[in-house]
Formats: sequence, structure tokens, C-alpha cells
Amino acid sequence: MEGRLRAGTVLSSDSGARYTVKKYCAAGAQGEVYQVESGGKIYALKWYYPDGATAQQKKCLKHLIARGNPDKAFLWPLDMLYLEGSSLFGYAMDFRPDHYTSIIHLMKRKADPTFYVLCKAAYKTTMAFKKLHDEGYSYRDISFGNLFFDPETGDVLICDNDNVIYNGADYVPVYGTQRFMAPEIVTGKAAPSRHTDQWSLAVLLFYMFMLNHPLDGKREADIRCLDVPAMNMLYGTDPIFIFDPDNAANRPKRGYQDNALIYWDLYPQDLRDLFTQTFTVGIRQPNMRVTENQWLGVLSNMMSCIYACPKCGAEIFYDPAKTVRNEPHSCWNCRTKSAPPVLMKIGKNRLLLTPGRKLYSHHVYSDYDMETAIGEVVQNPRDRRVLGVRNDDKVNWTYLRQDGTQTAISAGRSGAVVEGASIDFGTVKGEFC
Amino acid sequence: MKRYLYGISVRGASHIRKGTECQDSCRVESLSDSAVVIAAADGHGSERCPHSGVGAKIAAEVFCSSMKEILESFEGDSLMLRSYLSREGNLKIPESIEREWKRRVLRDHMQERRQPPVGDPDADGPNDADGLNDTGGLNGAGDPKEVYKLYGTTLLGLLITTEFVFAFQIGDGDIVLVSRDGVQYAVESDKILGVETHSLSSTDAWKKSAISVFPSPGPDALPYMFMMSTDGMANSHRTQQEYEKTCMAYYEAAVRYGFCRVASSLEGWLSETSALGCGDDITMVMAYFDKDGGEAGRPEAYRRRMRRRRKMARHSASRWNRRRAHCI
Repeated sequence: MEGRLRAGTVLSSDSGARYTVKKYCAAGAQGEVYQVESGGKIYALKWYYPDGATAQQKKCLKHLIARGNPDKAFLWPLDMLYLEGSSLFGYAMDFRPDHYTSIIHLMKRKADPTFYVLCKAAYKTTMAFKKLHDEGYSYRDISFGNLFFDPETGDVLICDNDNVIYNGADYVPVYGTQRFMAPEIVTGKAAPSRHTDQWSLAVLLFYMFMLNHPLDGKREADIRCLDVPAMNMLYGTDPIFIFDPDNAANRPKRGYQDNALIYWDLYPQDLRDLFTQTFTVGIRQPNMRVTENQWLGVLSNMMSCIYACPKCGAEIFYDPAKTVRNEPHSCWNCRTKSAPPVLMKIGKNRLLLTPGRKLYSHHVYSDYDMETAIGEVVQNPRDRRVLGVRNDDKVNWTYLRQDGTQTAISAGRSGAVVEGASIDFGTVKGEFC
Repeated sequence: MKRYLYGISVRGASHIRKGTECQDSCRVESLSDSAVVIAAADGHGSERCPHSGVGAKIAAEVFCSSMKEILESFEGDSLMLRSYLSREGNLKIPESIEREWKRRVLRDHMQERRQPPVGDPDADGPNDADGLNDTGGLNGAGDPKEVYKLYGTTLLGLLITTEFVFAFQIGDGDIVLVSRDGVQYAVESDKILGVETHSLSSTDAWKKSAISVFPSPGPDALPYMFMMSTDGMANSHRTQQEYEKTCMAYYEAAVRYGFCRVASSLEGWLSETSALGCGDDITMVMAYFDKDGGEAGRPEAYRRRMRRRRKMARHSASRWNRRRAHCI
């Protein structure tokens, strides 16, 4: 299809660069997206419809461009673009590579990432919004249409950042996407804010993990026409979480909402608790919604506590709640019961010690940096069954044996994984258990 | 801007030879001055799908009624409607279309007392999407999944408003926009190679749907024509280019001779295409937008005018014959 701008059209910009329209890509609610080229580089252009090309929108965009990108995950506005003789405008952003896929593809099973990749994508998404919120901005339109992820690496890209605005601003460019909006927005009681973003983020994460909407249960399945009044009821005036422990009126319906039923029990209790908190008490008390830091804490533990089923190789999440209850871990695929590998507990952070697993900065310093590796689980070259944790950090660690003796672990050296022993990282201690 | 809508299903040449009915269906509805909805469905027609013609009819009806309900629900808030279709077009809309089609199929199956018998889909009960109850048993004697297969069909649909277009597709067939710039496909469908196709009757059929939302071409692009055809049309051409050439020829004929001339000739053209091509049923639905035209340009009016002309011609011929006889 073709849009309003013809291929070959030349656009001017605030930066002075000239952009040439290469091809039409898609249309959304506010405008059309094109591929444009400038200085030999390909960009994406969002070109507003006449009703969206307002002076306020232009002012917001100029502010965002001047402010700069809070995280590399955002396809942030880079330059304002104009068409000569027209009052319309648009903005250029980096072009999303083809291998990034949407959550809709995940739901249609056209993308099949591993659980680790899924957790990583969820972690990076949450981290991006944390950085945005920390700078006093809210996104206002978190939904599956705006998030893309690499099914191989878990890298994410977030588009449609033109609605980002500082908290408390009078101008409200959008109220959000149906079914992702917080109940207080649906009922018209509040404007978008960080709290409403936290709701939308929780819905998005629920979609990523459960492939279902957290409020789409029996009540939604029984509605033949999901029109505006029905959606207002389900997502605004009378929302009921599908796994509300105190209200079973809206459980997922088998045949319609199988995904939720399949996946809910597969994840650790910690994750389920966060969802339950957001979608029960968090429905009416926005300040009780799960914060980004809470999500990041649980997601980092999930990423660090996946192990392979010894029989079929399927990914299994280690769930500390099961250990507390003395319940065995069983494979969701082949049902084989298995004992998880040795665990390292570092404060609230956990790490299953399997060969090749990285110890990230966040595990030790709780800085949410899950990119910088400061250690790795390695195998003893003489006996591969014996594992050790190698120090790749810049500081020395101390190895504490059960008998109380200590040994320094300098950079490049390893401490053996022995239940009951521990590693003192300086500020925190990591216990093998 | 004037708009002309026309759709027709013709029985395929091979169906005529075999004595089987046309299993295609189409529907054209003008919802308001600014919105029209058109749909076409191709019943699979194989021996395993003896009621696919009914399934196709239901599919076209379901698409039109769904679009009507969504349009009414947003009550002229075009921005919200476009946003909803863009965001939910891939998810909730195909899900609800599949669900409603299956519900209506079961209801029709039960009302017509076709075999095998099934439970009442409208009865209050713990049925799930595939008619199974919560314990995995069946409310009726037949397995609803098997019943759906008897009605298997594809579905093509378009909601055309003055501002944007929503295109929807499950299974094969083509939706194109033809203008003086050429032929453009409105939606990139999830096609299977060979004779197999995705079907509304399959479990989680919505996952195989393809949609697109794009701006209406606008007054500068007039005249333009949306054409929707079941796979019998494209399969009757040797190549995709040949098919596109035919689409372009239909469009050019509409521009040159008026849409009504094309509409009134379409049945013959499609029958001929089927006979010279793959022999399958062909359905074509057209939505033509032009600056000119009016009441006189509509197909029904054109047919009325032609009938009147023929009648007058017959009348004058008989008068001439009478006069001739008298002279002799």
C-alpha cells in the first residue's frame, strides 16, 4: 500500500539534513510510518495525520529530541521533518531491524523464544521504563503494539515514543491503548502517569509470560461483542483478575484462554505474587502496584535460576517457594522430577550454578546491571563434575570454607562450589546451598 | 465522491460439470455515508466439507455484523476506532470473528438437524471455544471440532471508511486496491503453498489471520477500486502478473465505460474465467470510488435501464413486424 507521502519526496529537517522517502511501511492511529534515507543511512519516519500534527505535539517532540534517549531500547525521536508548503510534520527515528518481532507474533506462535530470552526481554523492557520514569517522564501508551524483541537475544525496541511526556503535564496526547489502560483512566478518574504506566507494564509483562490478558477470563469469553461498554466494564468499572485468589468469578475458560491456564503454574511463585498484587489490590490502589525495581528483582532471579531438565532438556524455573514447601521440581514437558543444581544466594539475589552461567554485576552490587559479567561458573578441567565460580571482577573476593578458613580469590581464580561454603564479595556474601 | 458496491459469486465450471452447488459467498453492506463493509468467503467444497457453502455464508455475515457492531460502538470517534483496529485487529477481532462463526455454525447445524447432532451452543453451560464442557466431555453427541470441519471456509473482509481501510483475511484469496498507480495488495496473507488453505474451522484459526489498517486513498487518487476475490480468480490465471492485469483491466473498464457496465458484465466474465481457468467457484466483490456517477450509475439502476431498453426494443420490433405483416 502507499501512504500520503510518495516515494522520492524530499523532506527538510530541524537538523538541516534532507531526508528522502523510500517507501511506505505502515499506518497507525496517529500517523503513517515510512522508511526514509538521509546521508546514506536508513531511518524510520512517523508522519502525522492532519488531526495529530498539532502545535503541542510539535513542542513535545522538540523537547524529547533535545532531551535525548533515556535508554537504547527506545526508538527515540531524532529529528523533526517537514514537507515544504505543508503544515504537516513528522519525526525521524532509528529503523527497526526486520528480525525484531512483536508480542502479537509471540501470541500467534510465530515467534518461539526460550524462557531465558523471554525473561531477558521482559527485564530489558522493564529497565527501559524504569529509566524513563526515573527521569520524571511517563510513557502513557505501553502496549504490545509498541514493543518489539529479538527472539534470539531478548533485546527489545520500544517505538511510538512521541507520547512520552513529563509527569504532571497538562497536555495529554494519548490516554493509552484499550485493554492496557489502567482502570482509573478507563473510568475517567485519572490522567496517565507513572502509576498508570506501572499498570500497563504489568499487563504487558503478563501478556509476555502468560500470552493472555490478566482480566480476560470467563467474563470476557462470555461476551459475544467486545464493544466499548463491555470493555469499560471488564477493564474499568469492574475488573477481576483471572487468578484472583479471593474471587474465582473470572477464571480463564478452557478452550478460549488456554494459554493462561498452561503458563500460570509454570513460573515461580515470586512472579505470580507480583502479578496478583498488581491485579488485585493494585486495581484500586495505584500506589500498591508493583514498581519496576520489584519486577527487575524477580526477573533477574528468574533469568539466573533456569536449569535444563535432565531427561528432555526443557527449561525449568527454580522456585524457592517449592523448596520451602518441600515440593519437588518437575519438568513441564516430560513431568520428570529433578533436583535443581546448587544455588548461590547473595542477599535477595539467586543464581543456579550450572556450567557457563554468568555472575552479573547486579547479583553482587544489586545495581540492576545484568549485562556486565563479573564472574562465571566454570568446570574443573581435571574433574568436570566439580564446579567453581571464577572471579572476573576487578576486586578480590574471599572464599569462606565450612571450617572457617579463608582464601583470597583474585581476578581469574576460582572458588569451588561446595554446599555450606560461601564467597565474600566485600559488601555481600554469596552462600552455596 | 460517489461509491459503487457490487459483489457476485459464480458457480465454477467444474462444479457445474459435477452438479455441485456454489460454495462461495459474499456480502456488501453500506453502513453509513462514510463506511462500507464488504466480505467474501470461499467454502472449501471438498467431500469432507459438505456444508462449506453454509459456512461461507455465515462467515461473510459474521464479518459484516462484527464490523457494524464495532463501528456503532465507537460512534463516529474515528481516531479511537482506527486505534482499536490497529491494535486489536490482530488479536481480539479475529478471535471474536472465529468464536462467533463457530457459535453460529453450531446453531445452524443444530437447527437444520444435520448429522452428527451437537448440543445447543446458546444454552447456558460450561462450553468452551470448541464446544467442550469444562470436564472435557461433549454436550452433544457429535464433536464440535468435527462439525466445524464440515463447514470449513476462508474469509476476506474490508471495512472502508472515508479516512482509513481495515483489511482482514483468513485463508487464501486476494484483496487489492486498483488505481491509476497500479495494483496494490491490501493485506499480506498467511498463505500455504499448494491447494491447502487456512480455515475458520481450524482450532485457533485467528492465529492464521492477517490484517492491515491503512489510510483511504483520498480524493486525489480517485477513481480507485477495491477488489476482493476468492482464490478461484487468481488460480484461473497463469501468473500473479496475469491476475493483476485482469484486475487492472476491470478497473480501466469501470473508468472508461462506467462501473455499472462492469458490474452487469461481471457474472459472464467470471464464468468464462472459471471455464477457461481452474474451474473453481469465483467470487468477486468490488467497491468503486469515483468523483462522478450517481443513481444512474448503480448496477441495479443500470440493469433496470437495460431491461427497459430491451422491452422497448421488443415492443418496437413487434410493432415493426405487425406493420411489415400488414404491408405484406
